[in-house]
Amino acid sequence: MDVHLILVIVIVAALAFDYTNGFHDTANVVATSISTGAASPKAAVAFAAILNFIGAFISIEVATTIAKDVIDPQAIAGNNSLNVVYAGLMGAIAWNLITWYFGLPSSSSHALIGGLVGAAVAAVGTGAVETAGLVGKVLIPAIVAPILAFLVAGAAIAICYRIVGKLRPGPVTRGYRYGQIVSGGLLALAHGTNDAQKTMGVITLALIADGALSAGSDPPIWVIISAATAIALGTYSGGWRIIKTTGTKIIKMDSAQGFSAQGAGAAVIMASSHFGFPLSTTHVINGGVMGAGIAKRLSAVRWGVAGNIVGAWVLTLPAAAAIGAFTYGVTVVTGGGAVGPVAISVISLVAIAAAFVRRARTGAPSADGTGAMVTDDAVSLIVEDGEVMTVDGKPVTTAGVVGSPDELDRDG
Amino acid sequence: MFGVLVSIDDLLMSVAASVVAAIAVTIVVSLAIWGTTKYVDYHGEGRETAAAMALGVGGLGLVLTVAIVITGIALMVAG
Repeated sequence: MDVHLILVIVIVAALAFDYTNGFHDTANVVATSISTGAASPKAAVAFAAILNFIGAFISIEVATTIAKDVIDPQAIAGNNSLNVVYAGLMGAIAWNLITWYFGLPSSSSHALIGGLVGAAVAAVGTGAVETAGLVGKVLIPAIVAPILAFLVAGAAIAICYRIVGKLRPGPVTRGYRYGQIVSGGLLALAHGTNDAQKTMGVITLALIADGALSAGSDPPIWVIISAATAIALGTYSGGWRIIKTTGTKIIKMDSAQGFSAQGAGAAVIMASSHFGFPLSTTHVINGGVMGAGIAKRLSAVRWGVAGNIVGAWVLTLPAAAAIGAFTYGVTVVTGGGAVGPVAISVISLVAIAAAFVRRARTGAPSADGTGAMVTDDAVSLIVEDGEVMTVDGKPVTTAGVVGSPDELDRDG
Repeated sequence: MFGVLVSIDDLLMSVAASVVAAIAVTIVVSLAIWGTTKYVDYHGEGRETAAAMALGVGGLGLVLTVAIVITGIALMVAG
């Protein structure tokens, strides 16, 4: 009974992670479309959520990698195996929410893998880690993919300017905005394909650890459908603070740059998904954004902001691993049964609710997608019915209520 | 050591597929935009033959865009 209760908690936690993954990564998928004016926030987020859902059904290669190639299911087998998976998930969820709170686009995928590795090492030592899988399918692609997206986006924007550079700017801008519907759609599809599969992989790993599935099994269809639904709902909920960082703080983009960044990101993520590499979509799209920016001029990229993002990336694996290991330790201290996961889940829910309340009180922007952002500068104003929203005469932006656009610029 | 840990073939295939897909889509979408824009310009100037050719380039770009996207997704689904 205790084991099955933990399994239920693990599945709920995995789907919660999937939801936070979609919530956290919405920015990666829609920021460039919104910041170049190719789509309104409401349309972009809804479109991305639908394509995230569809994308989850395209492939299971990444799920297989997560279930078999990061940690050895046999090595963690035993009474505490589900607690290892649970602790790994909590490490990822906690790090996702911490970076969301501070508006940093870190990697949900690396948080998940870091959490799992940290919990497994805490439970049975480094022997539980599949070194070849971790290095070959996670760490090497994690370094190669953003660099590749950077280079491909740079080449793509150079080709764009070469072909259409001497044409009238009006039709070209409109043309690439239409192009961004294609590239943005592909990016959302790619995101669903790669990221929803990570949750499928974790649930499959838990089912194997529980004995409900035999080793080597593929994810059951109910796992695929539930993971697809969770990430789509998370994406629809959105993450406006991070949209601002990705869409406007790294670089001011035109529609051709947005198209190039999204196209490069989608191509890299989809190709990697096909070969079972669980990439960070955050890293890839930010690499694409920077590549599209640097091809125009070096100073277009806000390197200070880009440096902060890289710092968050570097911290993600060890931070999530540490939280995962700590969480596993708590489950052991509380007896190794369902008491620990239940208590941690309740405490986490209270902490999350407190974070949301605090964020709401400090003037977080509405996440219901009712407005459109104006991003002709580094400022992202929430606009409703053609009017800039204000509170007490001050404009409402994606960073909250600010005194003036200048203040927001300094904030950046 | 590196070869043992990393499937070089998969990594290179992934890199090649990413480059080819992204560059191909960029070229055909850009050609579609070039063709439709030039069509409007030439048509306005009364150069109907050039306008028709530009429209052909634009149309071809559009068709190839759709074809590349569908082929890419089909390859993914086929595994």
